[in-house]
Amino acid sequence: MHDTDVCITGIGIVSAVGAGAAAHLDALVNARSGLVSRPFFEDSFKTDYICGMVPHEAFPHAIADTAASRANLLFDMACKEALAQAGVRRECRAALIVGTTASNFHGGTVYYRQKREKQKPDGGLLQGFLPGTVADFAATRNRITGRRYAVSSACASGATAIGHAFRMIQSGHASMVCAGGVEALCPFIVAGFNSLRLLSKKPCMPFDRDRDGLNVGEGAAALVLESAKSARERAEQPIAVVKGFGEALEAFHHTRSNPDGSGIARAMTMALSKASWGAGSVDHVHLHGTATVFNDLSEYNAMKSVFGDRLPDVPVCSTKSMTGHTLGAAGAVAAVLTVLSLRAGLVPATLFHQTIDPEFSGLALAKTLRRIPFSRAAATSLGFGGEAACLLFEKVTI
Amino acid sequence: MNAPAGIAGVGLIVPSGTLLSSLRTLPQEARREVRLVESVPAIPGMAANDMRRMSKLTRFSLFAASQAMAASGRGSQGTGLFVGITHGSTAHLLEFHDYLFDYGPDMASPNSFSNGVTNAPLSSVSSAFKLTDGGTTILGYENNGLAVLDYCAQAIAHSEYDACLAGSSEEYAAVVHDAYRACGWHGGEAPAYLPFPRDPGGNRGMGVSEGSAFFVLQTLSSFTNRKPLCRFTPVDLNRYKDGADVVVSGAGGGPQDRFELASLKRLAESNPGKKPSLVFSKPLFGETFGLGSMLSALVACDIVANGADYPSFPLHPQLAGLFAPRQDGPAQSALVVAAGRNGQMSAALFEK
Repeated sequence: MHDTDVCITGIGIVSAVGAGAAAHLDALVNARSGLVSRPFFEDSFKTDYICGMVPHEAFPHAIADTAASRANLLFDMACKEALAQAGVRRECRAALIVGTTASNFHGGTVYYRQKREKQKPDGGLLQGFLPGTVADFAATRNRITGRRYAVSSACASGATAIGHAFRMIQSGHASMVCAGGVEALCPFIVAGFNSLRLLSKKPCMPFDRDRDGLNVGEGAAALVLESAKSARERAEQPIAVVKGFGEALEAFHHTRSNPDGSGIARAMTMALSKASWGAGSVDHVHLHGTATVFNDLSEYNAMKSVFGDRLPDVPVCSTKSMTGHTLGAAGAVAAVLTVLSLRAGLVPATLFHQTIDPEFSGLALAKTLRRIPFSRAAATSLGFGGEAACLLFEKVTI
Repeated sequence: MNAPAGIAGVGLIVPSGTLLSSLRTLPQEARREVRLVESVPAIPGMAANDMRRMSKLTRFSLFAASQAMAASGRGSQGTGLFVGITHGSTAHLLEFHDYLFDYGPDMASPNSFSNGVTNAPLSSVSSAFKLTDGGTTILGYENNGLAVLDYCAQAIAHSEYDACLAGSSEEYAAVVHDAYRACGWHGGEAPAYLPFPRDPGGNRGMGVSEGSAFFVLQTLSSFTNRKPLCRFTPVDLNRYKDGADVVVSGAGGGPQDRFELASLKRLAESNPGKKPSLVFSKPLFGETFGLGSMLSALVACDIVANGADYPSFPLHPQLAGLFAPRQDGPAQSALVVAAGRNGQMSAALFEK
């Protein structure tokens, strides 16, 4: 391994299926979904939504009780797990990059409601409102003293954060970065996606003929990335290696992906070029797979354009029906799940998928868990505003 | 020091105008508690109806980005796009909540939601100028604009992009201003000197404002037919020893000032042989949070490239004697220093 190769030495994750990498591996192996049905609004607006809420036993805090800090707390959980696995136990001059879209937004919603109702608004609700506070909180709690910031590429934010960390290490500007993504469920998020008519009233069905939308979710995932030199000096064994990052903007529409898939195809091609891999090198792709009509079509067309005749030989999956769509965290959640899959030699099942959309001919979607040892995988992310990202991972061979 | 980049073009919109000279307005004017941009000129090729639906945050970004792209003479190919903000469009988010509270989730406005999300300005700029080579929105505090420029310079130096369109925008909202006041962050009463670390009973800070600034950065070697406006190099203040003719500080009486004071002292003490003059940018255009340090960067550009003069402001007593009095006329270099309220520092050197 070269000194500037980017190793993963720690992973941490919390989502609808529970807290910790072990809980997520168990969910992958046992094809277990964490989706639940619950209300987000009161009185006459009370109706249930299918969503991926972190279960009470993993995170015993109601949304109302963590209005100003829910994203902070979730990301801190993921960071702690990742840092512990990476053997980082003291103050550390690592950088910290977090991807998010709404962060602790619910504090703002409650504050504004109080103001509208002529109550004295609680200024404390806004302490976590600025998205940058998620990075501050995790850095303070975990004594990470290097540069820190937050990025927002909509639902590709988590992947973008990891991509920035990858670049920072490859270019020698940091030897260690804790990077990931977070999203905390709140009424604003549910109402926002509901207003766009993107929510499914049933568990989502990625790439299915009958797919009709997504289920929003919450969670956080963090990875400790470091140069091979740094890992070697600390005598830490890498879990996997990040080989490439690619990104693109579609310049197409505010909220909808370009159905031709050109943005995500460019991100994949750029990542492959960074890794000096051909498309033939990729053994598995963990797709964004939100189960919206346009996202899935866009990803299929991208896969077709990148893999061509090899498309049926590349097993793919979506785990949105397991965790829900964790928005700003999704790219980081996908990264951690891809690393777990790579290490366990399994292609996760795309839960609730029944019949492939006839438009997606040749797509090798794993309907059930497939145990296939493989060494190279890609994870794709797409976000509002046409933001696309792709990360490439390689298994560590000892 | 990091690899330098060249500035190929700049664009801005602030309450006092859309030219670099707009930044040189009377400080007295900027002491008003709130200064707003009255109108945003249309940009070529965009229908007025499309612009009307957008947030001010997005319209500011589009205008400043269009100026910067036009000034740079660059096409879209190979150009990364990075936008720094502190949060999404408050006006659109409030409108969304009004509908949500009054009529329920089925009647909340999709337009308000999609225009209020944090990456809406980037998405619109990307679409308007067909920028497809990647980029992101960077979220941060008072030093964020400079952090965005820093990231772009590094990315260009490592061949991630041929050039970057890098900007920062801020939209005023009364509810946010009230909240900042409630948190003791900004009182609108101009401080007697700068930096002005908040005392226990105090609640000061420049008047607040809004606007946008964009830069086009590219490698120095890619300037073949024309010269860059000036040279830009990200600086690690802990290692910086060279000194500059002018220092532009982002102190404004807000929560960032205790970090600004500490850095300015350290900077002066580490270069005892050279006493630069000190310019405070906030008295010129008010507090603009994430945008502020990018406007400071424009001030530095204006000083270095155009020999512009900016008024001085009384110094914190601990800085007296460490910096030179105001010196008008051309300067070879200007160092921009910006602290965020969380103690994160950014700095960059602008040179002829």
